[in-house]
Parts: sequence; structure tokens; C-alpha cells
Amino acid sequence: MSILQKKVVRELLTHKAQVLAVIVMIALGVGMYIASYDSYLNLRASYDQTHVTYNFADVWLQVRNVDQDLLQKVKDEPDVETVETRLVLDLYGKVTDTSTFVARIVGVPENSQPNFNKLFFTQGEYNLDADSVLVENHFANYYDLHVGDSVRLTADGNYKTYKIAGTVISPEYIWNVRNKQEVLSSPENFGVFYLAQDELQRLAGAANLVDEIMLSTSLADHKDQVEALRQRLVSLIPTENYVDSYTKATQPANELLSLDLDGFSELAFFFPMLFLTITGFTISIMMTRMISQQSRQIGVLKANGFSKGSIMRHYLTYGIFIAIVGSAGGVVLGLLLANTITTLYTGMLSIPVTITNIHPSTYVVGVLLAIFACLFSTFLPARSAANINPADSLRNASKSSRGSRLAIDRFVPFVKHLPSTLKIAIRNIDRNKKRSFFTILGVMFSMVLVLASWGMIDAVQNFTDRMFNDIYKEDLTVTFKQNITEAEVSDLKALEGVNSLERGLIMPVNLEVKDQAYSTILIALPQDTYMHGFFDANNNVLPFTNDSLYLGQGLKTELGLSVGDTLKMSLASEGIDLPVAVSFDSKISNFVNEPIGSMVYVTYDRFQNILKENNLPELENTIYLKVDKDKRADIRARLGSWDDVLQVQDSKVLQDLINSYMTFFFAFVGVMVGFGAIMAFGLLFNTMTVSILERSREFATLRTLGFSNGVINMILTIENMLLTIVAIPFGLWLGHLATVGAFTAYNSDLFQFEVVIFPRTYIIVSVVIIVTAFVSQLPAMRSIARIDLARMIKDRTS
Amino acid sequence: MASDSPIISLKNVSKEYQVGDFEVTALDDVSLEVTSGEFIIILGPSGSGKTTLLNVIGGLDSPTDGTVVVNGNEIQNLKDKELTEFRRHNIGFIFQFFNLLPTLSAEENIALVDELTSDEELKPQDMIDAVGLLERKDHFPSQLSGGEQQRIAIARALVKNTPIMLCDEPTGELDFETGIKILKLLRRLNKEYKKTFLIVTHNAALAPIADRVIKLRSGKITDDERNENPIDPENVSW
Repeated sequence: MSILQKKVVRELLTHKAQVLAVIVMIALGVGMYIASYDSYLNLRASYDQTHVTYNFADVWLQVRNVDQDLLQKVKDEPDVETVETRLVLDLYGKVTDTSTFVARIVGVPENSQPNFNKLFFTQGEYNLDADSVLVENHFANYYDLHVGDSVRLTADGNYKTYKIAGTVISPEYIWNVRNKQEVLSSPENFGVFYLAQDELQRLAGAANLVDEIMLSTSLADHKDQVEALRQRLVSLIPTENYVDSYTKATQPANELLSLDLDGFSELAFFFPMLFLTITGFTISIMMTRMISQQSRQIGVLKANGFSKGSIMRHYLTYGIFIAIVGSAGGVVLGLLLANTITTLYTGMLSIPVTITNIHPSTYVVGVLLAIFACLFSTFLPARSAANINPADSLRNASKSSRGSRLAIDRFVPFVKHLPSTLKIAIRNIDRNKKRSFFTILGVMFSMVLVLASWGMIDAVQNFTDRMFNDIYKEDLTVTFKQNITEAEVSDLKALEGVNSLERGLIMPVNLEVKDQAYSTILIALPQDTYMHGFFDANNNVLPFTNDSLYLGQGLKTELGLSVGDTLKMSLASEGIDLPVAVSFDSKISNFVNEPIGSMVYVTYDRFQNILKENNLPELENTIYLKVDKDKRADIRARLGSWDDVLQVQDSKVLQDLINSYMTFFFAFVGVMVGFGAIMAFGLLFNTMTVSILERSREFATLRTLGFSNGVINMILTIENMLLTIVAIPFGLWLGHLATVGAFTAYNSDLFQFEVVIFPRTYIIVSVVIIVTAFVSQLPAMRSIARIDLARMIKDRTS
Repeated sequence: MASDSPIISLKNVSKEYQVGDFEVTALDDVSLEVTSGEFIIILGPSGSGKTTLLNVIGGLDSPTDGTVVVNGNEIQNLKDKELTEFRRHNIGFIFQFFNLLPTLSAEENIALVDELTSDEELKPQDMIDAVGLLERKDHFPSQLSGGEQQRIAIARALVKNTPIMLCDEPTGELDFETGIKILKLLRRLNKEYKKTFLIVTHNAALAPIADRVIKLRSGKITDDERNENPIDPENVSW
């Protein structure tokens, strides 16, 4: 080991607490990157392998009355490999007498797995007959159903009881969604069931069956080409028979999973980058101050003939050491966490295949990121060290030591009248502006570390608050199988605990605008409804009148729409939805800011007028209720037993469902908050320690002059706390920006996260940072108190 | 005994600094020749330009005007890299404040510079012995007295085996007894290793020990005297 390398080692040991702090920060940054990015790769691989193992189809075409001719045309289409058809139907079901749910029933072969979208058995085995059914896992788990239990299904009100032969996971329903717009299909109200194809045909009877054509293509690896193939295939289907179609990429569950995974991948990159950047900054402060302290040593080295390059290499060695040790810790942390995150995630979503590979490239990138962060942050200080003029440094000439009056005295005249401790503290801030600036930056970045992740928790909290307090204000949404009768409305009003109700309609709708199509849901509500709030992009309340046609904000960007654009809306309900087929044009009057989905809203009266203009009867299938808290469960149970009620959606259940989906998110972001807090402490500790210890000689002199430790600590505390307070507003602003950056990935046409950080969070973070800053300075203060004054004064080393 | 060939030659050298809004002339048209092996004391009050003169000769500072030739190197024309090489092989510095590296032991402070030049002739161990601190070679600077630290600094300058030693107030931080010891050491090394010594001091009492005394005031050489009978530092007092 060369003498200069020995110097590095000894100086690292001398500053072991600070060095350890940045090593921990690097380890956390690298560990987080490796853990989250490797998890992302493993999750992606788990999805992909699930698709391969269970033969996820490439294209779905939903058609009424498929005939052999159409099937042959599909098979003959270039690039189509294998084709399979099945029946799919939404019916009703009951597990108990007091709850009806929408049962999506999929026809499958009796004794062998279907070719596409094979089923993974969590219980039971594949052996269906006319009296047995397979139940999808979400539903089975919600109702605690097991093999041998039974469910009742019906198309016409005459329920048939089916014995559960197995509970299954399907690649099509990893995310329990009825369709793309019902992002939150509660397993209480929606379940997927697999019946033998013949039995489904028999059960459905005269019901409007949908044939689903599923196929695989040789173009599967090229998303755009698969989409082009879908469009070609759709053109083969007579318009009157076409229902819907999607590709693997747009299959509702897969699309939602991909959105979730994409969001996760962005976070997997965003947070480690944020943390490593701030760690780099911390190292930069540490090195800058160290070099400033060692300027005479550097002068001596240069005077003795050390080249710029050797001095630069010498100081870069510190960065390399921190990078190597820190990233080694990060690699271990990453190894420990990556598999845990993957397994937790796949377990939570019941993904049948869990792949936990180690991706060496992630580890290499993690280590390279650490090396880059450390070298980059050490480079500028090292270069400034290499450029130190030896004559100046040996002369101890400092550019700032011109002896002019401090700006604070010129601009704030009252400073000179302040008590001396306060005066010294304030002047210290002005005297070494660079040090003060670094302290302010340190505090700011500490706040970013905590706020960036905490802000995400607030944003999600705001997401649900807004959704259930400001927008969806009803307690229960009751959907009927048929048109609601006046008698049913009276009966509802008469139920004990019902405080108010509104009548409305919920229907699937296809939008056509600017040569684009989009399937969503149309909701008709009374003018000036009090069950639903409408807000524009700036959260201003929008009046809901007969001229209103509101679209979800997500569609504005998704389809490139503007207020005044004309939409063609086609209602073409299927299965259990009210039978109506009508198209009409209307102008968009505004976009509403809603956290989930991109719905279309019109007034109930306007919708009924449209129906009247098209010679169609009035339609209403939904009642919104506000109920007494203590009667809520009772009302739900009673409505569930009504024959005409299709489902009762409890907003509380929906809220719980969102929270359960967010469990992983909260856990992940919670870990980020924890990591951020540790790193913030490390950063503040370093900032404060550097700021204090570099003035050891100055404080030794003060103590020699008779200043007590208490007074010196008071001066330091006032100085540091003043700087902390100055930094806080900037830190809050920067933290808000970081949260915005973190959330960008999560916004889509289906999810609109508004970055809101609650005032309480700002207050808590500010107080925590002030307290942490105070605590962080204590070790350095203790060190000052223990200074050997004689030695410090005698010491003439560089 | 000094040889006749000039090892240092300054012609009309000026050095100006900008300090805030003011321009300070640290050296004003200084011309000087030093022959190899001379033991020179440069005397002058604070601010007279002594340290600047050393820095210009040592290639730490560049002159504003004039030419500086040191051991055949016209140093005002040297680029940064060449100046580094020049200092490495031609100049040994001894400072008033010793400037030892605190995290290196006495021997390591010397070896640090030895690693740089890889001089085979003088070894750190020999040099530390030469300054009489062999038994304290593993001590760190904070464990040494001021005089001991300065002796280590001298050994550090010596180990490079450069022809010129520039000493800036080498006794300025030392008590009288220690100061005398250091001066004796410098004089001994001058004779033993045939090095050229330029010692800057404000202490006129040291003048009699030198072969030559140059006086500086306000950046100008006011006097340049040869001393045919330098006295032993032991006999100096102040």
C-alpha cells in the first residue's frame, strides 16, 4: 500500500462516522435499486412465464352467433396460428340468500383444460359435469369457498345449485375485473365461474350468448402487429354481430397488471436514483469540506512535486472506496430483498408462477450507479483540489478574507444590537456563505428524501378521500336487473335507515371520436345530483345541468380531446345489462377530474330525452342511497335478497378493496419512507458534523478565551437551526416536486393521481427535520467539548 | 563551499498580486544569482516579499515580469506539468508551520515524498536518522514537539535529494534552543549533502551564520552581502 493510500485509509477512519453514514446511504440506494429492479424483472418474467405456461391468448374477438364461415375466415387470416372458441356470459349468482352477484361464466371442456387460458388449480382438480363448477380464486377467497361447497347460478331467476369441483387462478383474471372500466370489481359482487360448455349453453337458454374467439399468432412478440391483426380480424365480423375485441396487451386484467408493473418499474428506478443523487451530493459536501480543510496539505504535496493527476486520483480514491464498500452492502441488501419483494407481490396477486432469478446485469448496473454517483460527486472537489495554487494555500490566502464588512451587517443593521451569542451565530452564517449554503442544501435534500415517499402515501390517501367523500358520495349503489319500477323505489324509500336516494343509470358505452374508439361506462344522474361531485382539472366544482356532457380527464390526454369535440356514443348492452341499442352525437362540455376510470356523465333527464327521440322506452337501472351507518349492513342484506337486484355496491367495501390493492404499494413506499428517513439522518448528520468539526480550531480558541461549552453549543445551535428554518420552505417545495416526479408514472386513462401533500405532513416532516438536525449536531458538539485545547493550539500539522 | 556556477538566476523579476481592489507589488525588479552550495539568508520585515521570492524560485508562483532560471530551467515558461516535474526534482521546501500530514507517521511523511522521486541515494530511514529522530519514526505529528516536527519536515525536504532547499521561516515557530538546533542541522546538511539553502527569515540575528545575506524591503533587494566567515549557529542569540 502506498503512503497516499495509507493516508486515505487513515482519513476514512478518522471520519468514520461520516464515512459510515455515506456508505450506508450508498448501500441503501444500491440495495433499493437492485431489490426493486430485480423484483420488477422477476415480476415481468413471472407474468410472461404465466402467459406461456397457461397459454394466454394473443387476440380475443367477442361475437354474437359465430358461424363456421366466419371461423374459417379467421383461421385463414395470415399470421393466425391456433383458434379456439368458447361461450362467455354474465349471469347472476348467489352464495347466500342475501347477496346477489354478477357471475361471469366461461364455458370450458368437461374433462380437459382449454387450449387457451388454462387454469391453475389452488384446490380440487379438473373434472366437470353438469352439476359442478370451478370458481375463480378471488371470489372463492372472499366467500371462503372450498371444494364441495356450492354456489347458485341463474339466467332467468331459477337458480341451479352447482358443487364446487375446484378453485382456480386464470391468467385472464389475475386482476379481478369485469371489464376495463370497472377497475375495482369487488369479489363481493363479481366472480368468474367455469362451467362445462354444454351446461353453460343449457343454463343460458335463450340468453344472448357471446362467442369468444381466441387465437394465437406468429406476430405475438410485436404488439403493434398484433393490434393490426386484431383490426383486420374485426373487419371480417359483420357489424351487427361484433361485440368487443382486444389483444393480449389490452386484455383488461393484463393491461391493469402492466400499468401496475410499469408504475412499479418507474418507482424502482426513481427512488434509487433520487437517493443516489442525494447521497452523491452528501459525498460532495463531505469531500469539498475535507479538501478545504486539507488545502495546506495539498499545497505541500504540490510543492513537493505531486502532479495534478496524482492529487486528483488521491481524492477520487475516497469516492471509489465509498462506492465499493457501499455497493457491496447494497448488493447484499438487494439479494436479501429482491426475492422477498417478488414473492410478496406474486403472492398478493395470486400469480401462479413466481420467478426469482438473480439478474447479474441489475447488480452490475447497481454497482456502476454507485461508482458513478461517488465518482461524479467526488470529481469536482477532487478537481478543485488538483487545481489548488500551492503558493496560495501555503500562504493561507483565502479569497474571502478581504476583511470587508459582512453583508448581514450592511443590510440588517439591528444585528449589531443583538446579544453576542445570537450576533456571532448570525454573522457565522454570512461569514462562510459556502458552508451555510451546503447546510441549507443538506437540510433541503433531507426533506426531499422523506417527502418524496411520504407524499406518495398522502396522494393515495387523497385519492381515496376524494373518491369517497367528494366524488362518489353515495353509501350504496343498487343496480337492478331490469328497469326499476315505482313500487321498487317506494319499497326502497320505506326501508328503515335509508336517508335519501337518487335514480340513475349505468351502462356500457362505446365512444367514437376523431377516428378513435373507446369503451367506457355512461352514467346518468339527476341534474344537480348530491350523490356525485364534479370537479374540473383545477378542482373547481362544475355544475351538472342538462347541457353537461362530462368526460373523465384521462380521456383528454388518452384520446387527445378538447372541450367542444363531438362524440358519437353507442349504447349496445349485452348479457345482464338492459337491452338497448342506440347511438347519438354530443359535444363534450368539460372534463372531470376523477381518480379512477374515465366515465361519461350526462343528466338523467337528458338521457331519457335521447331515448325518447329514438323511440325507445325510459330506462333506469341504478339507485344511489345514503343510509344510516348502523343500518348499512342490514340494508345491504335485505336488498341482496330482492330478486330484481343485480348487485349492491357498498362504497365502504370498495374503499377497503382499494386499500387491499394498495397494501403492496403502501408496504413498498413505507420501506422507501424508512430508507429515506435513515438517509435523511445520515445526510443531516454529515452536514452538521462537517459544518461544526471544520471549525474545531476556532472553537478551541473560543474556549481558550473563556467561552463555555454551553455558549459555544448555543452559538452553533442558533446558527444551525436558523439555516434549517431557512431551508425548510425550499425543502418542502423540492419534496413536492419529487413526489410529482414519482407519480408521473402512475397516471393513465384509468388512474389519475393528484399529488396532494397534506399540511399535517408538511408540519410533521418540518418538525422531524428540525429535531433531527438538532440531534445530528450533538455528536460533533460533544467532540468539540472534548477537544484537547493544548494539543489543538500546539498542533502545527497541515 | 559554494561552487562558481549559478544554480539560480533572477533577472528583473517582478510579482504583482491583486488583493481585493488593490494591486500589491510583492517583488519589484529583483535580480539575483545564487551559486550551487551557497547557504543564503534572506532577511526582511513582514511583507517585504521574502516568501514570494522563495515561491517564485520554487516554481510555486510565476513572476509577472522578468526571467527566473533555476538549475537550467527557465521556469516562467514552464507549463503546469513541467513545473510539477521541476519542483519534484529540484526543490525541497521547509515551511514555518512544518505542514506535516497529520494522518501519517514521521517516517511515512518522509516516505511519501521518497515514493514520488524514487531516489535511491537517500532513504527515509537514513534521513530520519540524519535529523536525529530515528527512535520517534512511528510517532504521528501530534505526538511530536514543534522542533521534532520541523526536523521531520527537514528530513522530508532532504529525502528528495534535490539540489536546492528553500526554507520559509524554519525557526519562526520554535523556541530559541530548538531554533538553534534546527539551524545547526540545516548548516550541517548544507555542508554534508552540498545542497544550496535559501533561508527566509525576519530575524536579523541569524544573518551571521550564512555565506551570504540578502536584504529585502518592499519587494526590492536593498543589500546583498557575502560573509567570508560565517559563525556556528551555536553562537547566535536573539
